[in-house]
Amino acid sequence: MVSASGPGGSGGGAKGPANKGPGGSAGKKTPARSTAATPSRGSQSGSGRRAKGASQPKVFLAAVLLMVVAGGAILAYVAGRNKAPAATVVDPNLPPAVAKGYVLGRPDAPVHIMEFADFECPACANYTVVTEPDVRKRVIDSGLAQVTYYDFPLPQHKNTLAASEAAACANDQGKFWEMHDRLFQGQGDWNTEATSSPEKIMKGYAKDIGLDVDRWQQCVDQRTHLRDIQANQAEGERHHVNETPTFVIGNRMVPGAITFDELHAYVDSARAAAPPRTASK
Amino acid sequence: MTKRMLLALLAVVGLFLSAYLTLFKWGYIGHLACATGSCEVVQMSRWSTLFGLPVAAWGAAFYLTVLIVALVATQPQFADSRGVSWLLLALTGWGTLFSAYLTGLEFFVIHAICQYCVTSAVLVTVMAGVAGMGVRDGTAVVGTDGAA
Repeated sequence: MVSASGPGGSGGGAKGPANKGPGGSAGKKTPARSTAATPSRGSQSGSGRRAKGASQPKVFLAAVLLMVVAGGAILAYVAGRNKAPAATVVDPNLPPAVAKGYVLGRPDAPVHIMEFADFECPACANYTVVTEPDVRKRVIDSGLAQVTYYDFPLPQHKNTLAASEAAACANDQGKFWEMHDRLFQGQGDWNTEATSSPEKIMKGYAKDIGLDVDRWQQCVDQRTHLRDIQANQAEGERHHVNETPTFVIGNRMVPGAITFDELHAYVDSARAAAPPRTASK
Repeated sequence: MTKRMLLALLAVVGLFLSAYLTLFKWGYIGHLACATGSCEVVQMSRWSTLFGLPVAAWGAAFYLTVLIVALVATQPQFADSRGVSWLLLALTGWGTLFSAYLTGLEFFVIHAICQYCVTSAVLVTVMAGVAGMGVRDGTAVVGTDGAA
């Protein structure tokens, strides 16, 4: 096998193109390197080519090492940005959350209304401000129906969860419906379009409705009722709610901001169909 | 560029590909960027671990070995060494066979494709081809006029 010419020139003996089949003087392998400065094929001097050839592996080695270092730096950067989340300790015996909602009306009312709403939803605000005062006076207070409000925060409303938590913490002090009304009436002041920091405005509401603000604030900061809100939302998903507001009146589910007359008609229908309720949920 | 230099460069690519997957398996990277959508299915399957280590870690060790041998082989004192050429072929040939087995698992057992695994399989197959050409062509020439 003929050896290929190398940086040290051919090793004497047969000359020929590199990497060809057997050839040369006797088909024997000849050493590639020569200790003498024997000119290799081509016109360059042997010592020049030897120097150039000898340095090329070193240059290549340096280039590869540089690539390895650069690649390692890139991997370290990717790993630093994209770290797997650390495991946290949780209570394995956490009880399941129950959707309790917020109840208004007499426990013995014959009809039960479920309202799934989002505090930042304009249609919900429209219903609360325009229609609900009549509903409360002529349907709820008169004992025809009891209503339970369930949070159903929509993902596109960035401040809605803060509103739900503000209302839930007001409920601790028995003033959910007061906070509910203030939130819907002032929706334009604290929604996503108006501000990215709705907490200050909601704190003002807490003060206005006579809450112990420090206690309310602590509840909000600790997100004490987040699981309850999520349970209320899960109840809506269980009912296949996909818009807000949505009302469940008896066995009828009605999406959208219902008018007073429509709601009263559904309540009457439910009353006719169902026996009187003796206890609230 | 000699064949052995090419092998070294390909080994560097394979090394980082395997290192990326290994970091994911060890939790240093939380999420794999994956166009096929099922990289994590493959990486979290029971075939992704071998003798207690991630397969990707074995792959990284393989590519590092090939890199070291190829870099040594580019040195002038090993230019004539056919033994080194055969060693490179043996390493990459083994890598090709094992990658074929892993790729078969993806297609016929796990039923999910990891783009990184397939890329590594293609890479090692190309490397085996280059190493085979190096054996066929004789000893390597370290220099720009070398066909090896």
